Amino acid sequence: MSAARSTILEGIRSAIGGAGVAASGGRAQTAPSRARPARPVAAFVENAERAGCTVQRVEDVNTVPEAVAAFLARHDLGDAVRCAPEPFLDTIPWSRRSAMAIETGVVRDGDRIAITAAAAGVAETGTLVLSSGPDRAILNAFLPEAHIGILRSGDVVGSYEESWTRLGAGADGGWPPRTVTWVTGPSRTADIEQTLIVGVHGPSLIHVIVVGDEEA
Amino acid sequence: MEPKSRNFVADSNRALVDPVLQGTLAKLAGGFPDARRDAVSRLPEFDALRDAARDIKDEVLDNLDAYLERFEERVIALGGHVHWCRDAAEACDVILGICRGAGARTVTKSKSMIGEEIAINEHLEAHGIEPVETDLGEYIIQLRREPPSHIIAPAIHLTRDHVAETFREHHHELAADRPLEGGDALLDEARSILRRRFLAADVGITGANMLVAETGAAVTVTNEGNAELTMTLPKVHVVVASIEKVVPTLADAVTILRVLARSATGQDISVYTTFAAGPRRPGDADGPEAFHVVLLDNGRTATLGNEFRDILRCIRCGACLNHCPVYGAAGGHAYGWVYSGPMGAALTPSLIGIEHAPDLPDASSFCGRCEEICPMRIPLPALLRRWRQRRHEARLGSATSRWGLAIWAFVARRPALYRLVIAAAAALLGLAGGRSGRLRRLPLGGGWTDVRDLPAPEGRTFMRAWRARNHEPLEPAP
Ligand code: SF4
Repeated sequence: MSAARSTILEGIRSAIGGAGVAASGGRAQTAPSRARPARPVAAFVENAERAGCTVQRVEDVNTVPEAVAAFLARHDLGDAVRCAPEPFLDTIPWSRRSAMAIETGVVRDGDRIAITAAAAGVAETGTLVLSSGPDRAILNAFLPEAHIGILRSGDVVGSYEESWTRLGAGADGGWPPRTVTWVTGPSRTADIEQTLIVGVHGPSLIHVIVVGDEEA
Repeated sequence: MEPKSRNFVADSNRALVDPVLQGTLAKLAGGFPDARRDAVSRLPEFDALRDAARDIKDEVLDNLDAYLERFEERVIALGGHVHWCRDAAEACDVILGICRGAGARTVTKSKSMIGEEIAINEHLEAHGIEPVETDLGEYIIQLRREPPSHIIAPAIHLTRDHVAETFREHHHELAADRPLEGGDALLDEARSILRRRFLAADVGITGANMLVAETGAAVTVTNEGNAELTMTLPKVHVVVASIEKVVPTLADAVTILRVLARSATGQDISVYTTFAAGPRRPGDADGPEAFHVVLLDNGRTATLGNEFRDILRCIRCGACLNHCPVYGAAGGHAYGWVYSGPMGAALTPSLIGIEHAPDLPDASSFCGRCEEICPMRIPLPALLRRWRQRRHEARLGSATSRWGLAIWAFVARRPALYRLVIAAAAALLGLAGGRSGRLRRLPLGGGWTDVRDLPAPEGRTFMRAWRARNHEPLEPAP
């Protein structure tokens, strides 16, 4: 509808008195102090827990299967797990916990538990940063009852701004990825009488496993 | 939806005596405002971020054409489509065309105020396509065929019993005698019904909290996760957004996000914030095959050029509703259309015409709380004052108030006459007050004296008292 396009653009130009100019650089912005914590991993854990996640720290990938199994047992979630097709998740020695049935791929309707690897964790609000891509699956964070996010301690950054930079580093298929989603706590609503209930369309449980020895 | 903003006075009077509505509104007073205050107290830089957020939007508005073109260019480069629409009818037709092109029968939607503004649901229904709202509150009011009563909590006027009753009426596939007590049971039922709709949908329509010119992304913010399912599961993702939603860069979006949720619900950040740009890329594991952005003007370019431009900075956080004594007493439906509270009173006349909303500029006590808390520093009381002036110029007020104002203006512009009239009036009213010093009744002052007495003036006018005070000898210096 190009007639509409030119009417609107002309309308704007007559309202602002001429053609506007889009700035070429970004403006100077300073992240607030809580986005520059002295100990980012500790701040991440504290804020993620405040938002309603459970968080567990493990030394390396070898202890991840045990941590996942313990989480499933604690919440009586069964043992079938859908794991996003990410190379990093492939390095986890799942065979150490052979009772769990790990299937790789995009979550399906009816799956109760799904795992994703977070591209970054943002300390300022305890936020997991997930992205789309050839071996990523955004849906794994949305369809199941419980979502387990695996985050390398070295990928924890202070601010959202830094998380964009971190996404740029590993982006295949162009920067930024098609979809970037920040997840901060379980799905919730207060739409019925302003009473908070968790687990609307997304998961009611979010467990974050922080892998690595930063600030350990 | 046909605007009913004309009936603001009658409808708000009715709201004031509705005990159920008053019960649900009473909960609002403590909830969101307290949470906001706590969140702000955890962020010492909050006020500086408000300044930065305001400056970002002002920069955009000053150069809106250029940022929209940059956004469009990015979306097209990513393989998406941009549709420019002058008004609601054009936007509805474009969206219907996209849905038909996709052979859609069911369309899922995540809450969008622009969707409400253009009444897209009615348009799709009229053409045999079923729209399904997926935000829980929005789903409830869609079933009840009601407009939203709050811009971020659309079903805030309803009780649990209302919701249970509505679900029983509409969810025929479930046993009629099932238990439905408590929020959890209602939520479980809504989730399972909506999950099937998500999986069946051919097109997903979302709004956008922002459009990022730098990357071509639409930004959505939700707590439920419904926007992500709406945009990821179907083949086609349609974004509907008004033209002022664009921001220059991702860093600018971040600044605005830092004030948005804190102002809205008092969360540090909403549960889900998603940046979606373009269709699924080669090799992507999930995502839609087509990506459309519908850009709506519907009166914004006119507002950009007049004295109401500041309202275009609004990010629809809802804080001004939560802090407004008028909204808190009358609720959202009294405002008669999709937007309510101070932002609604300031914006609605721009979109539907002051002649269709002549009383909305009065929906304020001018206490100034809205301006004090608005994250985008929008001078809402000043905008309402300007609407009152416009209304007067358009000869829209009641004859009594217009005559009253004319007489007042005549007298006020003649200081000698003014003093004389006021002194006479003060003396008369003082006499009429008698011993009690109170007036039970006052001609033309029924609005005041019907519900309370007016204290009678005691003798001197303010001007006389002031003059006397200034002529009094000063205290001798020590
Ligand atoms: S006017 Fe300000 S406070 Fe009100 S909704 Fe808009 S941004 Fe929020």
